[in-house]
Amino acid sequence: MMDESAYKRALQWAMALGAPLLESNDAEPPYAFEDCDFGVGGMLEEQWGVTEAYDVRNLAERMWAGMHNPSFQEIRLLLGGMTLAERRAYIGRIDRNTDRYADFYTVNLYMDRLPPAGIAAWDWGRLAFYVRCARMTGLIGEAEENAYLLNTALRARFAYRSWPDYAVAYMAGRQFWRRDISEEWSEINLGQLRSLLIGRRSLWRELEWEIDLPEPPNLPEYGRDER
Amino acid sequence: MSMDTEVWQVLGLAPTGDARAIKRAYAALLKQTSPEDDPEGFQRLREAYDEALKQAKAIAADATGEADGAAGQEAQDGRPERGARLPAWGEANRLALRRKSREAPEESERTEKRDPSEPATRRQEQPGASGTASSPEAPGAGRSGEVETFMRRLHSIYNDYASRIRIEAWSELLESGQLQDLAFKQEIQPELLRFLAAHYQLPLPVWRMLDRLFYWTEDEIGLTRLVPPEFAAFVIDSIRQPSELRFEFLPAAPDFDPDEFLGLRSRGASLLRSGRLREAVEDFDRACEMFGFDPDLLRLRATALHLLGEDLRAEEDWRAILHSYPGERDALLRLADRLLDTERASEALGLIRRALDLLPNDPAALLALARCLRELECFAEARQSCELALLLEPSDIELRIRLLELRELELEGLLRVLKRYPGDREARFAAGELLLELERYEECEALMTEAPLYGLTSGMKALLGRALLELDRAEEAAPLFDQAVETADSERPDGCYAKLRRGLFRLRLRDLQGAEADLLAAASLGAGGHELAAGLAVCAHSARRCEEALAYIDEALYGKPDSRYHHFRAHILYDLKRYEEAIAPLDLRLDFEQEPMPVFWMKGVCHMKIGQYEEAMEYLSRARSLDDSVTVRYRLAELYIRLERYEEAAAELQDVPNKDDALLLLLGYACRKLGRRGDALRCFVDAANLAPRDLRAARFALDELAAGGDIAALTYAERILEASPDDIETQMRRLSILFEYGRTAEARQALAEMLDRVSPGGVHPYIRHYAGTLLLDRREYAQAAEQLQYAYDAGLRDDTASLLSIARFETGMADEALRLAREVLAAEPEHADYRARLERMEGKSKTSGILRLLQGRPNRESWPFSVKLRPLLFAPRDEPPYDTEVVWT
Repeated sequence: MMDESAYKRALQWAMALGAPLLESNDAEPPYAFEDCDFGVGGMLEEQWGVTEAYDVRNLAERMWAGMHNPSFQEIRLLLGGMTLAERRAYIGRIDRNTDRYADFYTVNLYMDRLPPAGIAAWDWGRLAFYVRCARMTGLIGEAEENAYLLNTALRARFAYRSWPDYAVAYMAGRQFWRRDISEEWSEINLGQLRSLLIGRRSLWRELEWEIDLPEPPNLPEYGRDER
Repeated sequence: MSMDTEVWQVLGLAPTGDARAIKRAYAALLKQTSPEDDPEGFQRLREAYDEALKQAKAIAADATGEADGAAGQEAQDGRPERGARLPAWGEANRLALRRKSREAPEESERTEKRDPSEPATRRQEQPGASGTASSPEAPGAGRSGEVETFMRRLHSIYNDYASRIRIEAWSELLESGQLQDLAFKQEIQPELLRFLAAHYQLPLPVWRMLDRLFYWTEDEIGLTRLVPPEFAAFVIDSIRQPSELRFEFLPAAPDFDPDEFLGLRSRGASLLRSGRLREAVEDFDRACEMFGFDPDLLRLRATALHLLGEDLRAEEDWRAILHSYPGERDALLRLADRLLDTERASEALGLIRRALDLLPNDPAALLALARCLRELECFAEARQSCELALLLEPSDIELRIRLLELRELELEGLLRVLKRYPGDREARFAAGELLLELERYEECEALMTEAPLYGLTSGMKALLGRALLELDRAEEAAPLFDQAVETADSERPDGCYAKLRRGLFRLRLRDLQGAEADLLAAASLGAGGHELAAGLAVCAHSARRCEEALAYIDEALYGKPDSRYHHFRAHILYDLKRYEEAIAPLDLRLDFEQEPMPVFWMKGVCHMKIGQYEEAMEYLSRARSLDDSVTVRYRLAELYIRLERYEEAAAELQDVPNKDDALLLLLGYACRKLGRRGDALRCFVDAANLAPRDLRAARFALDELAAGGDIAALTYAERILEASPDDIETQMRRLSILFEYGRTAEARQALAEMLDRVSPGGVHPYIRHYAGTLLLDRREYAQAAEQLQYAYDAGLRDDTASLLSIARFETGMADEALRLAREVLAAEPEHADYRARLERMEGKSKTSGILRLLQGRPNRESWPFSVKLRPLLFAPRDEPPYDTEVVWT
């Protein structure tokens, strides 16, 4: 049984998965619920159609299954059968002005360095943030938030090896989603991670990646009437 | 139907003892039968395959010694052997036969024409005619000798594995003159496709050679007319396969079945591509059992294993590849990655260096090298490697992340050195730079100031200045930059760093002259980089040296394709009126701009200037939705005027407070177009009074006032003429007002000056008119007639023509005078002066010309023509108050 302090650290660790988005919304570590006062507005509804607790569960399941990762992995498999030289030649034949080129370029850039989980970090990191947003808008309570966070944390913990590895996968996912392979966006993306990677107060520096995580609580079930 | 028969039907084979044929058929069918899409079909196929292999053994045992004879018999009977049993062929064969059947007569004729000496029996025995197909091994009665020979050679090459992978052997056959013959090609194509249905394990260059001959990829529809769509797709895929699996590593052992091996390998690759990793590994394992040294097979298996998280096994495969093929770059890098992940950096280092030897400056290998050197605690070298990789692959976020880590690690090392050797100024400067890069400005300041005993180098002073600048302490930073330059100048001539930094600092303070001097000095000392070039571009642009600015900003963009530089480039192009070129860099900026209004605005204006009004409206409206400023409203109003939407233009400008002259002119112009002359006049006069030096505003005021015959026009006319004495339009208007208000003496003087100044050919017809009128008034009829005739010939009528008629009349040209006078009156019958003049001419004309001459020169009493100095009316010039040029660059 995990003691209270370790449990708290585990929750902080899980919340830190969403740190890039939390930081860009001016939240400060350790991202305690009470200290999060950024404007959530109708973001969840506008972006994801989330208006009730059931939708949060649905969103979590979609994120765990992978939103952008499946497309990434599909291209990764296609390129996986080729040699490095063949990959470069194959991508070189795609029209540079197309989305397809950006997709293939990004996958080729990162596929050999990412673990089998690919860019799942991008989905899971966003989920941690959205779960906090859901709690802030009152769609879910603390217990539900913890359940979602710890279930996400468990996936991430064993899919990646370190916070920098997680950061690479997260930002590779962001690049893949944005289909932007420009130097400038790469710099902007790094700016989002800078304080997390080298900041004195960063949770990513404070909490070791190989943290002990508790058995995640059961996820909330929603009956038909609750939908 | 018995189970025995069904087995062979599933495989599309006649019962055979040839296990290889069964395997080939099975492998071909596997490509069409997916266990996921058709699990039952897959199960059926698998069972049929196993059962067929069992039966084959029995058949082979029974038929030992008879097989060849039987095949020969089949051939003699004309029974289809291969055509019936080849899996992918079934339907294709029937289609091909039907086609052949239809084409048979033509084929016969063509053959006959081509080679009449050929035996008739051959021409009669076309496969279509017999309705059967025959095997190349067992030539049918209908196959021509050439086809038969060709197919024999084809089989011979394929069946001998050493020949099969020798591209020259295929070139010899496929690029022979025979296949240049269109008829032969048409004849051979179905046979060849049938052959490929069962013999598809070919090197990629052979597939491509075939494609060059038969144009299958260019005419896929044509191909599907010959073979079933699935097989056509297989052919196209085989030609277009992005990954070329090599054939040359297989053993030549007699008991080794290359087709089975290659089938497993290609199926595994296909399963890998579709994400069925476990099944892929199973196929690869089976292939490896047959032959475990094929580098492509090992690479594919290692890739699949890595994706399954079985890196230990993958590592074995990478090692196995390198053991046999030490130059396989993929294996070198993948194994190095694995070693790095498992803390074996020293071993990885050798592999990475080998990979870099094979392909220097490969960013992936450089990143691996950086990771390796980091593990080996060679942080500076690791950072260099990372920085080089980042130059080559600037979009790679991992490189940036690793670089950040490395800077921190290197900094820690330097700080340790400084604890022991605080007088090491190089280490202090290097540590300070790293702190600056890590945005730890306060620590940088502390580091630069904590050891004053050892003094500060020029670079350290500049560094401290930069840190203070970042801490918003510009006043403290300024003297530091000066000191840095002074120190550099006194210590040694090379003050490159200090001058660059002070130049950039001055740029920030908008001391552009000082900045330019420093930056140019830095450049002359060898400084470079995008910051320097961009700084010089700003300086040149501010001094209106736009072409120079453009060259500098292009240099900056070459060093760093930053969207802010693109934006600045657009500004320069805009100022150079190269509007079309400015649009693309503005688009590049839009993606990053937090406040896009200025970009929308400029883009809108650029589109407007090149006449792309729809796009202009889109962007100016977007700018307007974000910003209510006069700048935006002005351009939007301009666009409305260009589109002749004057009401909207006026509405856009009407309620703008404190309108400036440009805006008043635009509003006045819209009002004029709307017929609101009073409003227009007010706007123009206000504009001219707001900007007394603006001649354009004065012209608008003059035009409007002169058109209404307002004496105030003279004020603006004089203002314009003072600056631009040769402005003919203004002179005319002034003259007309002077006449209008009876200031004849001034008018006369003005006219005389105008006539003096202007060459006779260049005199405006209105001036001729006025000159003629004045001469007429002085009864100098001949000269008056000359001037008025010029004006008349230039198109002036009415008064000009009427006055000319008087001049002609007075110089004795009565007929011409009468004709003119009548013409004028006909145009304006109610005009009292014109009528009176005509009547007098007609009355006087009764006197003969001689008598009139005898009477001497008429005087006003005896011959009182009324010569009124009536001013000509000048409508306002219809020129909008903006640049109307459409600039195409």
